[in-house]
Amino acid sequence: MVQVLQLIGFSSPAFTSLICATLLVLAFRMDNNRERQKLFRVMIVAYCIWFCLWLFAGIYIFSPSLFVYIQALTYLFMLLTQVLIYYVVFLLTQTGDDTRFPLIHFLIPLIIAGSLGAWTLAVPYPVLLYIVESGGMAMPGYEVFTAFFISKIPVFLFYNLFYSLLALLRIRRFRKVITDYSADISRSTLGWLYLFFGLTLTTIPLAVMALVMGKMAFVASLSTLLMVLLTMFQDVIIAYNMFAGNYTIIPVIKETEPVRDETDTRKLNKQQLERYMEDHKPYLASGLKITDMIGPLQTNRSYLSAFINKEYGMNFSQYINSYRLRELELMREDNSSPHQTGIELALRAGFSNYNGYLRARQMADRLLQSGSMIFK
Amino acid sequence: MTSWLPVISTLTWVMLLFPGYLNSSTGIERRVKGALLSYLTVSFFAWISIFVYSYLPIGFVWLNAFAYLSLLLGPVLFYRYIRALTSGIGNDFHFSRYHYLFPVLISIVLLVWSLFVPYEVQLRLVEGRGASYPGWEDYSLLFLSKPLVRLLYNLVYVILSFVQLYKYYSHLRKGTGVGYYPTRWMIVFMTFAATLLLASLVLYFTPRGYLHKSILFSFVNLLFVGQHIIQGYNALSLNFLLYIDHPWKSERGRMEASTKTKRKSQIAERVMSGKKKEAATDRISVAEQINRKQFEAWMRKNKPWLNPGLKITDLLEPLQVNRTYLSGFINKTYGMNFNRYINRCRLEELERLVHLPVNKGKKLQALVGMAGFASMRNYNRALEKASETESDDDD
Repeated sequence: MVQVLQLIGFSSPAFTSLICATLLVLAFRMDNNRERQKLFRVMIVAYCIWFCLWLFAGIYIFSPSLFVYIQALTYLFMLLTQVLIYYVVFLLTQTGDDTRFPLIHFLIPLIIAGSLGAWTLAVPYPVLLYIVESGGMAMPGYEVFTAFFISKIPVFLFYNLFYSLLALLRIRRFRKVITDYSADISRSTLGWLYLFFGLTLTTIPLAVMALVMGKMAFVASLSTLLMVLLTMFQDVIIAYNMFAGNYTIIPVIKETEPVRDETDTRKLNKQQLERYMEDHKPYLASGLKITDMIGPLQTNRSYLSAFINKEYGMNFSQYINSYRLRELELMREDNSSPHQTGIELALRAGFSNYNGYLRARQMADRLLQSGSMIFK
Repeated sequence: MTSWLPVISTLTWVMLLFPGYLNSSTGIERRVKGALLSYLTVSFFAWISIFVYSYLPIGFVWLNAFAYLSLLLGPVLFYRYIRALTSGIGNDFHFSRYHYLFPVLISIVLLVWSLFVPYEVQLRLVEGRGASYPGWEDYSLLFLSKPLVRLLYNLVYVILSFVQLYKYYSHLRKGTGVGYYPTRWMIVFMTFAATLLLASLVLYFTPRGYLHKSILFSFVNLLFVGQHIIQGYNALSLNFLLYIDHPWKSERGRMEASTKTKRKSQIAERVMSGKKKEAATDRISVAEQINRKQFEAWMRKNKPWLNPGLKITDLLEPLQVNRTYLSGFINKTYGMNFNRYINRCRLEELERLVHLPVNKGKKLQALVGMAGFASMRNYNRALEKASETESDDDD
């Protein structure tokens, strides 16, 4: 019975990873977008490694003799998953400066696991087996090696913590920039990624508790169950949001390409901008980016962004969404199409989904309180 | 142990589909995702019951009536899912509550009756793997009737699903006289369903004790997992187009159209230039037939060509026609295909824009974008094609 429960405990998150990977593989094959394909490729690899890890965990429990052969690989995979997910975050939170991902993030796990693997070759099999079967006890003379061997979990937890914090910092920085680029709140603020790392941070104390209280099987299994469920939930969060495209990648600004009308930048005035907004209603397009408006307005991105900030006291996203909210109000008062549902009206006003509309409303309420709304 | 896999599969897909369901932007999206969610949820409980039956007989005693309910509701909700999928051609989606009647009734009967039956009797019935308990023959009959009734429900509702699909494709055929064929994923999916039906027939004759060791049983579990993937993936990609207009054409075009439709929502989102604040009814309220005047009036008011990524599928909902009809209509009325027609509208728009005083001195590039062309290259190509005669695909 215990065995069955353990088997369930390992196979469930493993299988969820597999399903999520399948979803991304199917989407990958149907999509032409190169950025998306790159993102998906990395995530698929991450899911596969995650799947292997759960498999290895099962082997650790059920076949220690086999585990001895894969333990260095396990170490590598444990650390690599954290790096890969951070790499995905890195790709999603580019802010237009063309920085490459520092390869050292990949090198360190390779070096650590590689050293362990190399050292393992010099250690007799019975010693290794003893370490695994006894849950970390060292045979005399092999104390240092054993310490290295069982450093897996503490180092893994450290990686968990470290990369989660790094990721959260990157997301926070990104959110400040994205509001001056895109007005699609529900698709650009990466709230789901915040949630993902928030959950990771909460599982760390759970994992610590499970380790420390290893003897008390009941408590350990409860927190293990919770961790298993959380892991599955995290897998789904990433797969769903990546599949649904709930991200906005800011393209790299090429310095070599001359900014259009560099010599010809007419200074904008408020009337010009507002007339453009009234006549062309660019805000009706839910995927509107600030770069879509610089052509018609004959200006450049940084100027337009600063202009909106100065004249209206809000960022591009707030600015566009206030127009959308007003459009929605006008559509509602204008009773010619009463049969249209709230969702349909929101979509017509330029919101990409109903959630986006709700978030815009919240944002507008906050702005109203601080007194800087365009339309009262 | 493979009977645990569908449990995880259904749970994972429920989690994947739920946020999308809440954020649905069209009626058919909500119906299909909702129907699939209910089907998967009930299946989840059914599979847990089956797993518990195999590995924890004691637990199954408690789950007894509930297991019966979920085992019978599964096929019903599968049929409901097929009905939701085929509700896209304007049929009202009414799913009779009577379908739920018998499963609910019989589960309540079992539940109530079980309260009067000693625990040991019930446990023996579970562990006895099909043997009736002396002295409680009637109760045993009810208790042990699950596989047979489940099999019957499976049979009836899968057959009903096939009938529904047949009606759906015939209806399409009747509308335009053109042949309609199921898309490849529908074919695969219904093959799975038919295979599962046959397999369950065979499994019925497997002694219950050997169920979880039988290879066929593992195969069935894996087949279900595959079915979930097909259902879930197509629901997530908003792939509600079940037909193609000639046999087994590549599905790539369809997938791209559906994903793009999702991005822009089925109510075409566009950058509108010159749209006045007048009331714009987005729909022509005739079903399946449009005349030229109405069509042109609607086009003039809504200017869908301003959207550089416009696909013919974006116009199907507001115009309330199906794709082949619209394509044929444009062909017949204007003597060209959809893409060339839209580009022609864009070229006319550009003409208009160029002559507006407010656009004096603007670069051509900017005006080309405002007219709805995705790029200068598209514009140049459209100019060339405007002087040729060519028949392309619609995509």
